[in-house]
Amino acid sequence: MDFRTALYQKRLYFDGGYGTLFEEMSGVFLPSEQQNLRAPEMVLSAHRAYLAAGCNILTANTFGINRDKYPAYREMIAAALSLAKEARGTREDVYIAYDLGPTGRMLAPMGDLAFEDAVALFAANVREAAACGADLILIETMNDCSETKAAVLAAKENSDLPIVVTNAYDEGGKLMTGADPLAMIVMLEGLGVDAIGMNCSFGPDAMLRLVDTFLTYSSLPIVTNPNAGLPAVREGKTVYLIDPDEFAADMRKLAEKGVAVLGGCCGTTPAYLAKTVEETQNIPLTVPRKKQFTAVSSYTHAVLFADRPVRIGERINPTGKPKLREALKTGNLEYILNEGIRQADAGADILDCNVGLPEIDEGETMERVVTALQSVTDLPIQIDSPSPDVLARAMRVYCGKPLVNSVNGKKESMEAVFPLIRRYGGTVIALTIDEEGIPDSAAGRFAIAEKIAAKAAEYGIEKKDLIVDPLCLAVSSDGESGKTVLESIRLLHEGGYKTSLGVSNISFGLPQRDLVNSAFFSAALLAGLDCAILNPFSEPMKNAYFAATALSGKDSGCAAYIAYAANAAPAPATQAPSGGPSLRAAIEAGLSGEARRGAIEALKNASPLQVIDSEIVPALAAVGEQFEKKTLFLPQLLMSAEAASAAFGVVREKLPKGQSESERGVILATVRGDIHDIGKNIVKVLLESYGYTVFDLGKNVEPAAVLDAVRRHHCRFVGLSALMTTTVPAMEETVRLLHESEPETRVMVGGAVLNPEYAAMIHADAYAPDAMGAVHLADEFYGVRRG
Amino acid sequence: MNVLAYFDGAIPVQHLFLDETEKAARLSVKNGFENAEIAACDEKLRTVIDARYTGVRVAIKHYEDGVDLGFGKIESCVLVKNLARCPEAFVFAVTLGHGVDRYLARLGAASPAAHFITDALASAYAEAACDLVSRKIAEGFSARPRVSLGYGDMPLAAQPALLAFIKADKRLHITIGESLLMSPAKSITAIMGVL
Repeated sequence: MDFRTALYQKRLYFDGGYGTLFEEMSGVFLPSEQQNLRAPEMVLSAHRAYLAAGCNILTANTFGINRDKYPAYREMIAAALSLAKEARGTREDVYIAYDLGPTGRMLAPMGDLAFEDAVALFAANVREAAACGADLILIETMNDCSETKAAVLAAKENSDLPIVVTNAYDEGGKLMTGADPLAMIVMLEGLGVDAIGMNCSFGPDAMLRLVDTFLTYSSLPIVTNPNAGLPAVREGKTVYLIDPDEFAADMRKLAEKGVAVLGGCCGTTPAYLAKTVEETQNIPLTVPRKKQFTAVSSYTHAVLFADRPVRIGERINPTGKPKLREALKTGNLEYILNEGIRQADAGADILDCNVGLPEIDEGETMERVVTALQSVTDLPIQIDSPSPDVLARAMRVYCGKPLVNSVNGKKESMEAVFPLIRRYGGTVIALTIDEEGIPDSAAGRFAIAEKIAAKAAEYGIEKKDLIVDPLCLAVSSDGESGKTVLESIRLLHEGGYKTSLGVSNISFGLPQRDLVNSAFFSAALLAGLDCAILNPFSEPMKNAYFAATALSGKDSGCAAYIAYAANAAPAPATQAPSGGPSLRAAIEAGLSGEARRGAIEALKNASPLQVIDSEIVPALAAVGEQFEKKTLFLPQLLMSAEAASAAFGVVREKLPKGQSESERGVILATVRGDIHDIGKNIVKVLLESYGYTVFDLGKNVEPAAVLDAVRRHHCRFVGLSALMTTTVPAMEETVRLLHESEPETRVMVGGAVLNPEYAAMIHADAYAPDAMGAVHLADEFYGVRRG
Repeated sequence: MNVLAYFDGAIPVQHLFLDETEKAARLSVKNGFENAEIAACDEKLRTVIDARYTGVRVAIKHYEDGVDLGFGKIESCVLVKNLARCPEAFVFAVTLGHGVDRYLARLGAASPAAHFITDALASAYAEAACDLVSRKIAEGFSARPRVSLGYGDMPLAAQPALLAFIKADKRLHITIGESLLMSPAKSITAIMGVL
């Protein structure tokens, strides 16, 4: 019987811990995987002991092996699998799991391991595992959603072996990087793994508290491999605080609840597993039920399309947004990320991300923006592009199960998009348009939804992973449009489909569009709409959302409406009177909002250049002087710089074309290997507040990328930052490359480990002791005199 | 195996108090300086701190030029001097958690000033957490001041082995990058001799 069949037909038992067992047997601390070659007999005897205990899945001793840690990884893997196979002998009812543990590194953007590098590390192991005869891949003890996904993709793309994933949750029921069990269930089922669950961290008693979420939401067999509690030292020996009897008693409860596969982790020994087998072998196996719910997830949580309608923030889309277009063209991630943060704060449940502009590489940009957005917000993302290639790039690196926008009823679209959903997981917006266009009737649109669902089923994609958008057209050109869409929503709802709408399309061509949008949104919600793409800042849309959700009986006790109404301030009848601090005073006090307002006021009576010269520059000069005299401190300097940047933002919009961007540019980067960018960011905000255009390359930047930016932006002044001594060689390499390839380039360096001598040693042109120092160096380079 | 005891736990944020000198140094302000922005950043930061620790007490093997704390010999004059006459030592790690890193990343995009202030405060909180753990585990012992790898001639290269030895990788999910930076960034590993 193959493993996939066995999962549904008999109770399977993983083995228990090896690390603690080896430490006890050998008396030394050594990474377990090193024992395959050093002490093969010990490994073999441990495997045999677990078989004798009644286990029928042997975990090969490969947990910590990867080619970065061990150049001889292939030999180590072959030895580990050979030992497991030798222990199994001729028994056909025993399966060998290749054990894929974490890399020990944090994936980008929070760490320095690129997603594809992680996939490649895991892939090398999986290929060896498959070649050496493993029966399944066990991905275990992962504490990070992104790393788990990298491992699953590596397993899927390099073998046909069944995949079992167990993550290490903490007592609070989350991975250390924030994901709850539902987020992991949603992502892993989307990726198509064979069984999921928990291992390590704590004993079976704690798993009993967490397992209900798995049993309620997962359609897969559940695995629990707990520790034997916490370690302690008794009479000079490490022991675990839960004994085999207590352990087995709780494992029995897990089996009775419906857990299919049982095993152990740290501190468990053959005695624990023998007792567990004895306690549970006669408990009938519960075959998991198919669960029908629609969901997407982020790296922390899942969003269910259930009772409460879901709001998808539409603001990251360049259509009709000149500032966003500019940000995308110049690679200004900061502006885009702020749009994401603001929408999250405004109550969006999901963020739409569309970066389609003809002048940029949409695939590369989408991948970069989606990754960056996930570092600043925990909301799931709707990946929005008409290009399947662009969708594929973003879906691959996305941490979680994305919402994908979109597929439609055209054969070409379905054949391009459905394989991506199958490969990477995702819930997809299905547009009711096909080769014949958009049907006029609700019945016609419903028929396209049925066609899409039928085609999806051919790819193994369930109806629950489709959200149908019946496409609202402008009511100004088609008076029936609103009615048809509302009827479509009712039909689709009755047919068991989830529905979505781009609500604002309805008002295209009309004045006061929010009036129409909000009325239509209310009607659509009352007709059963499940989610909408909308502007989360629009007060009328918020009003409609909370009122209609309450009216449609989807807001229990009207609690959400009452909370919203309590906080919703009535709109001011007139413009707030002016009379706050002057622009100059606002900058000096570090008040960004006041500075923005002050700039608007000042522009009523002065030209943009006058405002800069008479207000912003003197304010910065005063603040800078106080900072250098040490009568004002870095936090205040930064607040003033931020306020000045806010004011500049307002003034810049009024500058004549051509004068709006400074020709004085500075390229900034934190060097390769360094992921701390706070020093660089401080320099950036100060340079910007002094009117420089900063090309911020971010952190962990390769030397070649800095050179590329120098050439692309025709900018010859570069600032490099490093926090750790270990990353200074990368700084030196970058300086050398710039000097060799673009000799006119001047490089200033700074950071916690640098000093003037160190800077000279690596041949930097200048050392900036702090952010003000960097401004002085930039002034010197460009011949700027201030004050 | 030379492990004599294991310990781990969580530190409620209510138990964390900043040392004024440490806080001022991190913020680059004079001692006692406060303003509304710093107070606001502090209040928000405290909501995302998830401080935890894990570690062991070990018997030390002394060598002329180094010590072995259970994860291989560390050659270091500083450590030899610091642990002289100590038969045992605590080896432990403290972290403020990944949530703080995420929060800082968010501030990095939204407000450089808040980012700087919060980052400085978080560094001070990591030290405060480490001090708290040091006091707690040293109760009943006569302990030396704690030291960390990377200080003086103590090799930072031993950090991965230290983290694996105390299982900080599994228990706290502290990972280590190519340049030996820890993630979460606001994490500290420490060695504290017991006389």
